[in-house]
This record gives sequence, structure tokens and C-alpha cells, in this order.
Amino acid sequence: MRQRRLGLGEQLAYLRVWWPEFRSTMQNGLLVATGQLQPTEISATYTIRVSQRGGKSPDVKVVQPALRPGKDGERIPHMYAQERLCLFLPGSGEWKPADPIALTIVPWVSLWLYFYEVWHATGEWLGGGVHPDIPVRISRADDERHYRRK
Amino acid sequence: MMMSTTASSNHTLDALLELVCIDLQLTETQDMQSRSHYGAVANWLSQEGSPLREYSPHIFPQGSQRLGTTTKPVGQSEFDLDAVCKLLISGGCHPGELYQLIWDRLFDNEVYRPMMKRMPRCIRLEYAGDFHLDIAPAVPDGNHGGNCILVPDLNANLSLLHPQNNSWKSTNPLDHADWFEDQCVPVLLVNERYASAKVDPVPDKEAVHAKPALKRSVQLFKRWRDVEYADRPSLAPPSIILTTLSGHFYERQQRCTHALQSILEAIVQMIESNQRIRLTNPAHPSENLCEKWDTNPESYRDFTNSVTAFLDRWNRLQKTQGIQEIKEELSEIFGESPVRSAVRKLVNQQVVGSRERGSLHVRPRSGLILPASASAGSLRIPGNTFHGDSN
Repeated sequence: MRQRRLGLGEQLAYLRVWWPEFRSTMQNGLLVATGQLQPTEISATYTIRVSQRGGKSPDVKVVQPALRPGKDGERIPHMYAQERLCLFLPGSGEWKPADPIALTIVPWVSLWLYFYEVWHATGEWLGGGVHPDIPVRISRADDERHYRRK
Repeated sequence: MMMSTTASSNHTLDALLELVCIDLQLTETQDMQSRSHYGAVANWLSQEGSPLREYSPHIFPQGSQRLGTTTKPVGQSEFDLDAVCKLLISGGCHPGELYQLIWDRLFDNEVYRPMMKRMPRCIRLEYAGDFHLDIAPAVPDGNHGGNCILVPDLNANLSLLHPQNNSWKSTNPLDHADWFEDQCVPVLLVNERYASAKVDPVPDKEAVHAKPALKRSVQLFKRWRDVEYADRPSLAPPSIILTTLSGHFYERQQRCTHALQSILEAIVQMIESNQRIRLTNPAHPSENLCEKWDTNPESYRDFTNSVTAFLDRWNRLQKTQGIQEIKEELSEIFGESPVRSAVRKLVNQQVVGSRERGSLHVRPRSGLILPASASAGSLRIPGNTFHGDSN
């Protein structure tokens, strides 16, 4: 595994190879990639934007359609400030500055969107994960993983 | 008939519908229950010492359990099994006499005695819980031959042996079932016909994935009926009508999304051309299957409106995007509970398992999630743990 942090130019190159339909640019030390993802044939198509500044954790937002809270106003699970997607566990090594965004973050966004749609359909987040202190309705599998991690 | 939808979107939708069908199957317990009740009754009617034995009784299941199109009942309604007890009575008999013969035999059994209910064309055994078994007395129909049978068609207000209570109904459930089976494209070559015996077993419950698309379509059609007519059950179209229409209009598609679509389109086309739908048993051309519509025109009118609305909804469904939106549409049609459980199962089947095994892939360009590396150039999704905060 490569340990050297990838430069923005390298990140940009990976994005252009794997996600050629994304609009990926680099300006003033900021990498921005905007593109569409459709997690399944029956899913909606989402426009998402990933941005990264110099080896920091990338920021991921869904541009449209706007994400909606649950039917009874429940907060959307696995987000920071209900604004950015939380795709990996910080400090766990799941994502490092040496990892290409194109091969990690972007696939995770599609997966996140999938579980987001399923959350709306079933009321349950079936994608597992660690959620510090939000009482979301979580599945048993989720539950187990939750405690194992803790 | 032309399909108005894209083929690609149907794969996931079809997988979801298959899972809805699985949820509509009788539970293992219900299935066992109906089999064992049927076995016990059939045994009681035909065993050594039964007065019916001299008439060489032939007992067989008919209707949805024979066809493999059973669906779980909606709400408070019961699930049932329909059976026939055919006797060879030489020299003919009065329908009330035939009914009485079988009634008496059941009445001799202390267990069955308190459960018996007189119905116009059958004897109903009402079991504790939510199950009933209908046994239609029958004799061979010599005029029509083959597997045609005569079933008493009795007026409940007259005594069984009243001279005017003398109607028969000619029917042919066995050949109707064979006709239906012939309409199905077997998905696997496992549809061996069961050998004829004195007591026919209830055919094994087919796994849904081995069920031809026609059978799944009929299950879905019947489930739609149960949900749609929950507030006006007296107007609901009988299963035999939905089953036979489906058999006629099925175009041997592999996917039930397509199969049900062409069935509904053909029905609506007939309605729109102002043809009153008339149906006879394909295996018995003089058996009218639309008696209910003849005697209750309102039920026919209601069907024409409801089935047209169903087709609209089916078309809309296939254009709908978003798992939640599709789930809402499907719930409107088939009820919330089987759909919700189907979505959960689909997620486990297609994503959760693969993700745990580390074989989940994504298709670059679209972001489509694949359970395994299905195409060259797909990307494996590395393991991750979704995180979050409380702000």
C-alpha cells in the first residue's frame, strides 16, 4: 500500500480516468469534482460534489435532489451537521491521504445514497456504521457492528 | 404487445416483485396446517369402513393450492383450501342426496361435526384460527365426459332433499389446472405432474424463484384484488376469473413485470373496445366462469374501472425512480407489509451480504452498485464504516 499522500493533481487524474463524466477541476489548491451517481436501476440520480484541500479529508455534499429528513422529521443518519456525508471512520485507516478519492470516496457515496434511499423506504439504516450519539433506528446487524466498534 | 418500458429498470423491480411474492406465500406453518387438515379429511372420507368407499371416492385439491397461486390472506380474512370429493354413483343421483352422503360421513366424526357449515356448492369445515377447508361433493359429468364433474348447486333456503333443490353445476377443475400449467413457461424442468391417486396430495409448494412468471403474476394480481377490494369484498372479482384471464393473455415472458403488464393491457384493451368480458373454462367450454359478473353487473363495472386504474399505476411504477418512491407505489398496490419486507430482503440479498464478503463493486460512470464484479472495469468498493455526529 502506498503511504505517500497523493497530490491534488494525482487525485484529479484518478477522477478523470474512473469518473470521466464528472466535472473535476483544481483551482487555488482546491480540488472539486461534481458528477452524477445512480446507485441502482430503480434509484434516483443524484448530483454530488466532492472537494478536497491539500491532503485533508474530502468534503462530500449532495447537490441535488436535496436530501430529505425522515417522514417524522428524523435526522438523516451518517452526516456531519446534516450537510456533509460521513463515509468512513476517521483515524481508522479506512481512508488515508494516500488513497485515491476516485476509488474510495466516490464508490462510498454511491453506497451511502443507496442506504439513504433504503432508509427512507424502510425507516432503517441498513448500511451499518458508527454513530456517536444519535438515537437512529438501527438494524440488528448495525447494532452489533456499532457495539463491536465501540 | 409492445413494452413501453426500458428493459434495464425491470431487473431490480422484478427482483423486488419476486420477493413480494415470497412474502405472499403461505407461511410454513399455514402450509403444513392446510396439508395436514386436508390429509386427515381425505383419509376420513376414503378410509376402510367409510360408507363412501363403495363409490370409489377420488379426493383432490382444486383452486389456488393446485395451481400454485395461493396468497396469504389480507387482514382478518382466512386462508383456505378447496377440495373435491368425487364419487362414482351408478344410475345417477339427486344433488341433495350426494351432498347428504358426504355430509353424513363428516358428521360421524366428532371432530368435524361442530366445524361443519352448509354452503351452496360445498361443505365447509371451519377450523379454529384462520383456516377453512371447502369440500365440494361431485359425481362424473357423463354428458361432458373427460374430467368434467357435476357439483351440487343448492339453495340454502330449501332442505337438502327438497325435490326442487335439484340443480347441478358442471365444472372441470382438473383440466383447468392442466390448461393453466400448460400456459406457464417452466423456469426449471421440475414441474413433474403428480401421478393420479385416490387421494391426490396438495402439490408441493414451489419455491418462488422456480415459479413461472405466470404464477407469480397471478399471485400479484390476486393480491392487488385483495388490497383493492378490502373495503368492498362483495364486488371483488373471483380468483378463477383473474387466473383464467391471466392464462389467456400471458405471452410467455420471463419477467413478471412484463407478464403482468401484457395481461393488464389486454384486459383493458377489451374493456376499451366495449367488449363485455366473457370467460368459459378453457377445458370445459360450456362452463361460464363469469357468473358473478352476470348476476351482479355492478361488480363487473367496478372491475373495469379498478383494473384500468391498476394498469395506469403499473405503467407509472415502471417510470418511477427512487427506492422509496417505488416502495410507496408498490405499497399502494400490494399493501405496506409485504413490500417493506421485500425491500429489506432485496438489500440483504444484493448488497449487505456482498459487502460483508468484500465483493461489492461499483460501475464507474454511473455509480451503479453491483453485488460482484459483473463487468470488466468495475471497481471493488473497499470496506468502510459510516460515521456521523449529533449536530
